[in-house]
Amino acid sequence: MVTISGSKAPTIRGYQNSQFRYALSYAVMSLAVLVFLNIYCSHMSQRLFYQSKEASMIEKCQLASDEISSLEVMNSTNVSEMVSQLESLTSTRLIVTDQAGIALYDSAGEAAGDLVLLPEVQRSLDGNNVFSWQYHDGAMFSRAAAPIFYYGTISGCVYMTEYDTDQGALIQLLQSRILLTTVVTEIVLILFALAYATSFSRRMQKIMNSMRIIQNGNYTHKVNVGGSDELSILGQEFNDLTERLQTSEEKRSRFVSDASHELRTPLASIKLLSDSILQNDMDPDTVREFVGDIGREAERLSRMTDKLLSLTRVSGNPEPDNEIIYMAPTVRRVYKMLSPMAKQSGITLELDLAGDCPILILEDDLYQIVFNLMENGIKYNIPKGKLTVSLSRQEDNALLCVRDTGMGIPKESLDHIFERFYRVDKARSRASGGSGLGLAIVRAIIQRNRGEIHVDSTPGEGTCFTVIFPVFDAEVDSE
Amino acid sequence: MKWIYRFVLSLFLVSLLIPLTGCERVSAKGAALYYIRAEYQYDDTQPVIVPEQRDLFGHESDPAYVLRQYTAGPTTQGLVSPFPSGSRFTELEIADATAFVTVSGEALSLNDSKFSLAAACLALTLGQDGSISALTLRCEERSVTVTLDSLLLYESPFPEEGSTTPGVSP
Repeated sequence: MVTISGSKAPTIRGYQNSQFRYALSYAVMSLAVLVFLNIYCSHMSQRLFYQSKEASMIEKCQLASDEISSLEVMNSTNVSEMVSQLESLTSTRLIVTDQAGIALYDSAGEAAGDLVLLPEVQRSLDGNNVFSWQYHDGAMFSRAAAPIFYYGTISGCVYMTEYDTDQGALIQLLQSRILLTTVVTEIVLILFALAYATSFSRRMQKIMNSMRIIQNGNYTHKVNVGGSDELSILGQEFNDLTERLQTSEEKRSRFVSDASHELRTPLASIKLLSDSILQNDMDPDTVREFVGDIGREAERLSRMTDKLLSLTRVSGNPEPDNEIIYMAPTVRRVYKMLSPMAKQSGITLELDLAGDCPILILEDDLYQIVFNLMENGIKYNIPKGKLTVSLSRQEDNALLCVRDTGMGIPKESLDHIFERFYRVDKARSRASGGSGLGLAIVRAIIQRNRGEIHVDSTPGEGTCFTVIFPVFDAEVDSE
Repeated sequence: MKWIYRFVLSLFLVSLLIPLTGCERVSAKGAALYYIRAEYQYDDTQPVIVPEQRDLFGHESDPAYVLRQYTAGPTTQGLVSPFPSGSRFTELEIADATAFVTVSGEALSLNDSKFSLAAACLALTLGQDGSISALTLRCEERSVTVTLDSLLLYESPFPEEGSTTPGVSP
């Protein structure tokens, strides 16, 4: 096992080295294939020669046998004369025997009159065409025998041998050429395997070094391994991962910074107010007023920490146990809850819930979404403004629209309104008790429930938030 | 005590003479009985006729005893007798270094080449001590004569050192 630590990648040597392993595996596999091909080619070439020789010698024996079988009487004189007429019958040795196996003719002159007990002759006298073949040290020794038939009975046999150094040399040449080709090919393959393994290993080393750099906190580092193979894809994936890490790290830093800042503001107010009470000689009414302010700041702190907890809960639990619900009852509950606040601000609330349809979501989640959007619509509306909530269906989607007649959101802020602690108008937001977390929570819940949120705003006219969820179809979705 | 050493030395010297006694003949290597290799139909690389070494208990020079042993057939796996089952040697006569062997009628089922092959096996078996140089095998009216120096048993596939053609091993 290799532990990645320190600033430089550890060097792996010997058999553990992947470069060595790849090269060795490649070389061994190619060697095995080449050896197999070598043996196969060698065997096949010998077999081709064998078949060719067998056909040729059996044909010669049968030719001699046919000619000799035409003799009325088989004796050494007749057979010698007949064989001498067969000019095409070239062989190293030719023996003709009678049915008992006694040699009537021997081209070598040594065995005439002898009893021939060679295996080929004995088998041929049983009525078989026989061929055998031996190859040794560049020479082929072939033996063939064929029976001589005289009116359906075996009257003898023709035995022939050929000692062929030309064809033997040809086989030897062929085998040596195949061997040479094999050796050259194997050397080329080994060199190629080494080059390939070195290149592969170098690129792997680049990725490992990059991992070490990232591990040391340099998230801007990018790896470039080149090529268009799996390693280059791995490099790209690694770069993407690093980018996500970098973004995540930036978000985390900003969140900590924002959260600290947001929490410090009410704490500073509380400290200032309490110091004033302690250091100044105040009348009871002023003290009561200051203590009331301290209570309100403490409430703001409490709301903020609640929302932070809510956001953490939503982000940390990506797959809730959903239920099939209609949105209208939840919208009515929120309407009822926020009516006093709207009345206090002089905002008119209007509901258009005719297009309601079922969706798959936790009711608490939906409540949170509707509440946050409607609360924002009331907070950031103009005096005597209007807030309209409507439900509708568009093909397979359920739409929830929350439209206000407020001051609107500048175009440059639209991309940031769902970020944590982002406020379009910081002074007004704080004054209205906003935490900067409401829309971030809304977006997190919607994403968790496979929904979408779009915002359309015109400064001075108002803003419309549209939440889209897939409609629950009992026939399709229950399968 | 001197006589004890002399006695032991004498026993040792006497024991050295034991191999020169008749016991040595009994433990002789015996004789070769020639049979047919059963696989010769499928394997051309070995001769058809091969010897089987047999202990004949001092009767190597007794052709009649050798023939009786031969009738029992080979004991080595892969060897077969050239004679049909039930064949018996009914007569044996030796004259002018030629053995005349008569075999029972079962051998009539052999064709000419097999009959010659059987005669060659017998000739090689009986001609080991040099007293027999030829053999005539008879079966009723049929007979074949085989001379030991006119047998072509095996042809060497490759030439001897310095030669360019294959050799013949009679």
